[in-house]
Amino acid sequence: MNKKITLILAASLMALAGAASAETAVGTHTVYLGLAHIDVNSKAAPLEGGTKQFPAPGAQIRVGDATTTGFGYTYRFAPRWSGEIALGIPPSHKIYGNGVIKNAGQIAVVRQMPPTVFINYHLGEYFTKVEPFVGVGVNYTYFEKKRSTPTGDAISGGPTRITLENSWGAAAHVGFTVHYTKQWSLTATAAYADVRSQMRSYTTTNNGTEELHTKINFRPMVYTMSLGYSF
Amino acid sequence: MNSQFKLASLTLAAAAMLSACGGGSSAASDDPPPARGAVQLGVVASTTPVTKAQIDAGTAAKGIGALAGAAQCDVEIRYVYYSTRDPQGVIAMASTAVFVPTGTGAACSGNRPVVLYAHGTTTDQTFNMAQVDKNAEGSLVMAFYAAQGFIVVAPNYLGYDRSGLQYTTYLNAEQSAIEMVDGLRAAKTYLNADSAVKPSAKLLIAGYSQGGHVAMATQKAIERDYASEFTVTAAAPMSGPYNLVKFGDVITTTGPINAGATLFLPLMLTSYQKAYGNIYASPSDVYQSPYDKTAETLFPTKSTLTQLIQDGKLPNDPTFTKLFGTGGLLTDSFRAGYAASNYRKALQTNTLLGWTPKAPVALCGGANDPTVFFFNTTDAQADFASRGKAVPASNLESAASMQWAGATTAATIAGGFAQAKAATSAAAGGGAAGAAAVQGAYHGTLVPPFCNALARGFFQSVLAAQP
Repeated sequence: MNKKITLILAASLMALAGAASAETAVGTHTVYLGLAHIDVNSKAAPLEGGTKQFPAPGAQIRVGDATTTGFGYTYRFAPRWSGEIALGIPPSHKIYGNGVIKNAGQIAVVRQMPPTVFINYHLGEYFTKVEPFVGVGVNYTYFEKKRSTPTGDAISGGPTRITLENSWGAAAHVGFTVHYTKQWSLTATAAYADVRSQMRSYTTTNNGTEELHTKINFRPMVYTMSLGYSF
Repeated sequence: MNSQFKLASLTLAAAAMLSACGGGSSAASDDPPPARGAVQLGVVASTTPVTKAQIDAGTAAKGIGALAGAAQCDVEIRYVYYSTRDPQGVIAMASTAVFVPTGTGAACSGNRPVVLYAHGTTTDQTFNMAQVDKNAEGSLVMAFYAAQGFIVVAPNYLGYDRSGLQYTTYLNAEQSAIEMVDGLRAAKTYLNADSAVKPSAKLLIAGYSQGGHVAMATQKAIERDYASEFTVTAAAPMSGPYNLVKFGDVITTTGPINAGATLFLPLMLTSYQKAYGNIYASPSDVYQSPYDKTAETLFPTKSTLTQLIQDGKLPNDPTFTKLFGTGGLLTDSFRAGYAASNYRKALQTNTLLGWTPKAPVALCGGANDPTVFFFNTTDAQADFASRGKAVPASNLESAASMQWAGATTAATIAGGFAQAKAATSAAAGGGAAGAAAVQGAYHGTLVPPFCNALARGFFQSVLAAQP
């Protein structure tokens, strides 16, 4: 489904003709709403700490992708500069077994809120319609819901509770805006954020609580396309 | 606004709304769990195969070299961690040993018949049939079957080794069959993908003690539910508690109490409480203090039995028979209420009479078994016979009962068993001490090699008679 959405949107964008050319004036507020696809390329060390030893390369995890609705606010504070806060409906990522537990499939799910602030530099109009920009900023990722699946419980040996440390990290994106009118625009971005978290799982067994842990580097690429309204 | 802009913005709005629908975090959005019998992990556990010489040395050291016969094949030890289901149908993980004949002998390559083997009672949570260097039953099965050209699939059961289940599904016939079938599925998938020696379509089922019960339950389940997937060639359940309800009646009411009862009861009570939910409202209904505090989660354990007794978690009784009375494991109310209890109903549910095997069956045991009384075997034989299915029930104490295997074999086995008992008695000094030593070794040490030798001969004769 995600690929189809991207294609539809790309086709729509390419079908543009005769859009108004307009630079954004200083003091303009823009709110936007659109689609964000989070392409996670996670890297995590094998799970450590339990009594069940697994042979090499160990019991690992892999974080899946997610697509969600993104929205945000941008303020043009100088002719070429804007400040932005990017938000969204918290996406859910399935967590899969990897390494020797690759065949286990989905072992957990996490839902996260990744508000990100950017300072953007707008490169003026290089084309009549399109205004590229680059931005750097800070991401905070808050893991608000974490749940082990029955398969995860079966592997760890009992009811399992998961914690994930929240993450602060640098973020950067590139993008472009198409101005249709003074009010309406379309913006597409590709972003990368440094998101890392210490994951711990606590499993209740007959002999007490077993803890497994690993450090996850999420390495997400986020692709967005949003409709903007400026005033 | 131009029409393309309207198109683009409408598309975007639709996509934005659609995206919020997919990928929730509730259980309804979860992927389905792995299928039953799916391989999670399959490994070759031995750096090099166990050689014929090593196997022969092992059987000789235990005095069972003649029974096992000279090894024909080296044996590669493999191990499979697989997905199955618990009694509630929830996904659970289990493991199985897989012994693969290898080497240059004619019986050691190509497609080999499979012995699906069910092991006996153990309280050791780390029990793993694949650890042939320290697992006596694993090394016995390796010597008797794998070294003679059979692929052996020997599941460890839920609750043992890497299985995460916090109890074991002890003497739960239908559940055990599920674990055995799924272990067989996973082993076959793994070998077909990864091994030069592959399983043929011939399926032999064997098991000892608890495993005799599991083996019979597995044959029953396969012939009833999995007939399109597997055909049982022959089955050899050994020393199993097939007439479980009568066994429970004897132990609980008149006696005698079987050796090991204080271990078997917590295993059964927990297994049935987890499966059926109605055995007791609280552990203190069935267990005396202080055992009620720990008995429910006592097994499988990483502690030794000596440790558990020292810790006051089991009655201090070296015969493991102190079920009742002062200092016993179970309450008087349990005994008094037994006849109408849900526990007895559970025993009835797991009694393996009243069905008729399709494939050939050979039962085996020893008439003087103090752990699993021999009437279990003769009752099963009589029950099958009542519906026209004649099966031999070998009693190692009686050459007459083994004539079906040929007069020479019958004499050799009966004579050998008598000698083994005599040797055990003599090593303990004879007399009362000697008799006690024979009693103590009867079920776990003396009977298995002889019954497995008979079982293997039975399997080989059935296979030889088939195309």
